[in-house]
Amino acid sequence: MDFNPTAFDVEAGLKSWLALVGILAGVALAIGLLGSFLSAGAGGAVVFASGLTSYVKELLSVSPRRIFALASLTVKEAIRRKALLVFVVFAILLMFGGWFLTDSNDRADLQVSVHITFMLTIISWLILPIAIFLSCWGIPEDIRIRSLHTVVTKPARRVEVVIGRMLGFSAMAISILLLMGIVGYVWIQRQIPDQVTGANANTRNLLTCRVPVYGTMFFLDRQGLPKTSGLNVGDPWMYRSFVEGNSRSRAVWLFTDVAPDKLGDSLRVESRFEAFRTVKGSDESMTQGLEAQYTLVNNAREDAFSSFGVGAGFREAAESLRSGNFENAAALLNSAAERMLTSPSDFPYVDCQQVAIACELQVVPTLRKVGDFPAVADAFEAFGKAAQQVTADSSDGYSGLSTACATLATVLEENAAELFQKMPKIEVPLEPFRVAEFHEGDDYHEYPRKLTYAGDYEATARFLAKVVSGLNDQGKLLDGSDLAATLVDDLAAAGIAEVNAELVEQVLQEEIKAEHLTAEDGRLTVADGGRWLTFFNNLVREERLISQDPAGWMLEADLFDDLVTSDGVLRLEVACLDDQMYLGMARPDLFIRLKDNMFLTGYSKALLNIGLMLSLVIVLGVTASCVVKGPVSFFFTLTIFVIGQFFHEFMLKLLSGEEEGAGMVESAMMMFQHRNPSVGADISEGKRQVMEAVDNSFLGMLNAASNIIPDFSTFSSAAAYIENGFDVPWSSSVLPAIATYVGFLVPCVLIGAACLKFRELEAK
Amino acid sequence: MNDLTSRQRKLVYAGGILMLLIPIVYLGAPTSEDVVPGVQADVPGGKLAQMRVKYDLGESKLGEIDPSSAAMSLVLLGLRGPAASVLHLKALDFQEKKNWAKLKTTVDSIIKLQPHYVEIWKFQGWNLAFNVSREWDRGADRFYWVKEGIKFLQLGTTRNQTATNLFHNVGDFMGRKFGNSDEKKFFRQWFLDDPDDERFPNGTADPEINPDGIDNYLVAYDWFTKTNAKDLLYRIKKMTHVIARQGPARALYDYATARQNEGFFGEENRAAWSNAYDEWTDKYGNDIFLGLNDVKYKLNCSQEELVALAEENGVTLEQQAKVWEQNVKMVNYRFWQNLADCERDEETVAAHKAIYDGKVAYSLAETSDSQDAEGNLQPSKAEQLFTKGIELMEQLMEKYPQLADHDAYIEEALLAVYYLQKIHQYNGREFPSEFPLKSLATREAGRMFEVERQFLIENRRGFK
Repeated sequence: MDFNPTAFDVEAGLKSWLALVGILAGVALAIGLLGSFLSAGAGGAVVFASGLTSYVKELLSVSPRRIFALASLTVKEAIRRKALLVFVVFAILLMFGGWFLTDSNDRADLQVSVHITFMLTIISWLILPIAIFLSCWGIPEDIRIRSLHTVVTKPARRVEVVIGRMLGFSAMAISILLLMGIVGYVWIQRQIPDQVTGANANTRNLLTCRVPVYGTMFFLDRQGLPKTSGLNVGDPWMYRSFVEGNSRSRAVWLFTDVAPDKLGDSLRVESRFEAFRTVKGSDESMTQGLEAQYTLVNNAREDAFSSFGVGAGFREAAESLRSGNFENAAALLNSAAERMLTSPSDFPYVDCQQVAIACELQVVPTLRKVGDFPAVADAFEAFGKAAQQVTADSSDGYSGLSTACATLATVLEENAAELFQKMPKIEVPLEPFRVAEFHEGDDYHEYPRKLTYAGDYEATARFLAKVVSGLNDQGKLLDGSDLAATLVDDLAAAGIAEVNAELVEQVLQEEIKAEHLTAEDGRLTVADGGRWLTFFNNLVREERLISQDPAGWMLEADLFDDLVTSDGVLRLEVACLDDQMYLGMARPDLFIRLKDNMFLTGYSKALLNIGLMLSLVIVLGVTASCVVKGPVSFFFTLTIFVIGQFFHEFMLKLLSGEEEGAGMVESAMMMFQHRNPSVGADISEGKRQVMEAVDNSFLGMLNAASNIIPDFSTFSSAAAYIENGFDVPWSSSVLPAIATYVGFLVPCVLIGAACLKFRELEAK
Repeated sequence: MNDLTSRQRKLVYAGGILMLLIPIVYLGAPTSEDVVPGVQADVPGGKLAQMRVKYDLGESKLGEIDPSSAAMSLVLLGLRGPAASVLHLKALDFQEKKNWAKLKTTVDSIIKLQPHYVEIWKFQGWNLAFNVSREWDRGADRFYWVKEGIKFLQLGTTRNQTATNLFHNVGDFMGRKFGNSDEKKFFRQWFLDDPDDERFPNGTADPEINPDGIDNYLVAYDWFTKTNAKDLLYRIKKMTHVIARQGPARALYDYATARQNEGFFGEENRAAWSNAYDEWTDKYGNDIFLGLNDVKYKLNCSQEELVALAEENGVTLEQQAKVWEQNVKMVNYRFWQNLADCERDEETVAAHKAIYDGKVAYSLAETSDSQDAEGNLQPSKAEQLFTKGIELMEQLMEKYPQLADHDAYIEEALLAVYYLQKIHQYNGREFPSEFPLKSLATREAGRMFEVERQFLIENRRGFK
């Protein structure tokens, strides 16, 4: 499955719609005015104004009752024309559809999408011809047999005739759609084998609608540096990109608005990754698949400094910043400041520009968001600006950069402890799992809110600093000037294994003895006035607090309190654990799964989209039939539909340049000259300019057509979701379908009403 | 308009219809052969039907008729070709975008439209079994798609009884894909005990491809045998005939080899080699083929038979011998004959078994010297087995000098020597300067790189 759901931007859509409708209205008015002058001579303006006024009045005096009467008349007429005979074809297809489908895949889970696709396809393709025929022949037939003459003598406006026709035919098509939809729903339920409907015990119901929450995605390369895409393993389909196994390479997803009221008390993650092997692998991996691991990360330093080291000249400093070793980073920047003057070639122009961009777009905004370090943020901002001043041609900028770098180093050194305290890194690696690959829905994992994990150095230091300083604040750490006798029990109560609690007590005792800790007023303080975090961080790194419990320092993290950032962002990293293997992924390949909806929900939305598509075809057909006769209107509507359904994307690709090749005239010329696009047509410069001008004018026409012809694939996108077991998303499928329908409905009604009003009904 | 009344016009139409019926019946009336293939045409039928029977062009002659296929062709009127082309393009797109369910459905639709287009069966059968299966990661998934490809080909044989190549392909896939791919270790097990326990519980095989639950090479043997039977009626195309008909015998060779590689050395496997020998010598060797200038020959040919065939062909004995010799060399007839003869020998089995058991002992780390009760140093179990193995191999190469150049024997022997050297190295002993197979090791020193590689592979992955 390769869809990439993106939310429909209502505001941008509305703006472009208003602009387009405005242009069309302007053109229509100009044509109308010109026509008036041509038909009425000098009095054309008066005729035009009078016609326009009458038209606007008509629009404003539309009566729902009359529209309803005309619509019901239309429905009766459609029934008289035996539109319902389509059910016979539908029944035949349903009776024999099983012949073609049941045996197509032995595996029951693969049959689900086939049956749903079949049903939605036949429903839409059976009603479509009826919708086109009825809508295109309705009004021309009324004019031909003069029944419209009778209608217009009644107090019925022409706009009401147009709306009534559209409404009536749409109601007819939607009624048929609903009936077919109900029959189709029952058929799908009956045809799909029991093992995937959940009817049998121990089987998973694949006939459901998963509700995904997608995030944004980027990659980390094998050095841990951020990249927009991963590795290319040579797959011609560029949808997925790959992370390398057993390296620092990761795929990173960022989910926003992660909160308990949305997710409940657990995190449900589903993924579908693709595996790529460069070697056969072990027997275990061959039978069970490659191993992947999720890690939940709350790492303010990574958020701030991951891009700082993209340029090689600043990589070492960036590594120190990312690992929280700010003092070391300061030392490295100080050294860099000196080298910038003595050996500026160590910091090439490109590196300086990259670090400038990193400062501007990542470091400074993140530090300002953390909020407690305005001086540090200012120093990075100044450093970024100085880096921006470095040019490729001159070394003048390096002295300014050196000064800014030295200042930054000083500020970092001053704030090192505070930065480390306020910019934590929490990484909770989750249980590794075997990638199911192409088994939709098999890689589904649910994690509780409280996550237990084996802490790394920093996490252990932070945890111990928090627990010990908490006990200290409560006065439970000391009994007089000695450690409290209940300390081990208190530490155990905070979740520390007893053997480790004893180790902590022993180490604290040693530190008191060594006068690194001092007891004053029943409280323990770090002798040099340092922080508890720094104190424990040093102890951990000196390996004096190696866990005595074989399980390690088992820590607990709260999903929402510890791992989700203050602005509701959850960072999830995916790694491939097998050496020389790769895992491929794209943005929609991993999502947080909310509570599933019933299959009926998604199925109904897909039917709604089909209904909107049919209604739009009817709107176009009726509008065309207000101007031209039935057959012409039929072919016009059919052409618009075919282009909109099958070639709209192609048009957009041509316009955006994504579809390679030359313009129409140039292509024709190259074919004639037997030349290919890489060498171009063999013509003089003058002729080339003429040719390009002509080709550009064709492209302009194509641009206009791409705006005027509706993109019918918007409607069919809903089917792809439920075929793959997803709910049809409102924002990226239903809303665009509604917007497309409404966007075309309004101008079509206006155009249809105007054409019917100003045309001569006797002209058959 | 004319002056005829409505009734008159209807009568004219009816007359016209009757007139048209006469040539239609004369030309197109069906024959009873159309209904039940193979029966004598009790009802002779129209001219076209008679010609259809005469030239084997009837739909039913080609294979089973699929009603849904016929229905689809009818519904599409004359658009069957364009529809099939569109489906081919869609199938390619689905494959590129890894939409396997739709790929399979589309392929099924294509063959409903073009059920007798043999190349499509071959192409898509191959595509599913080889290309699609390797896109999946887990072995069981790959196995599933290999089966899908083979089932597809099997269906092709029922629809196209005259396409002998399809029968050959099924045999080929059954043997080669299951028995010779990277995943053969699992595929051969799963062929007998399908990994889809939900559909095939209690360790049973998928009955569609393995109804009798036997080894994949034996199923391949059955298919190649069917191929040879079909070949007598509808000669296999686009393959050298003398090679195409090797299928059954080669399947038996592969069966015996695979079993041996899996550690089966008993009487059963000797019997397998004996069967392979008989199939090669008595059946395949006695087939009559047409050589250059349509000269008849057979591979297992005595001098008397050579003379008789020369007479029958109307050529000189030298010409006959030349054709025979060329083809014997082309199919390496004598080598395969000697191989089976050698492999069914008890001594050969003992040599293979000793080396195999040595590798097992090595993988179980039974490589250290020990001391007996009297304090004498006793070589490890692995060393004893490898020593025995290379001694037997040396005797074997003397007994069957024509096989001394056989790559498999040379590599097996050199690998055993390499294992033995390693065992000496572990025990801190120098490898003796004189040892069985020394002359072979000296002559084939250039192969040592490959031998070392094989040693590493066997030790990294585990021998079994």
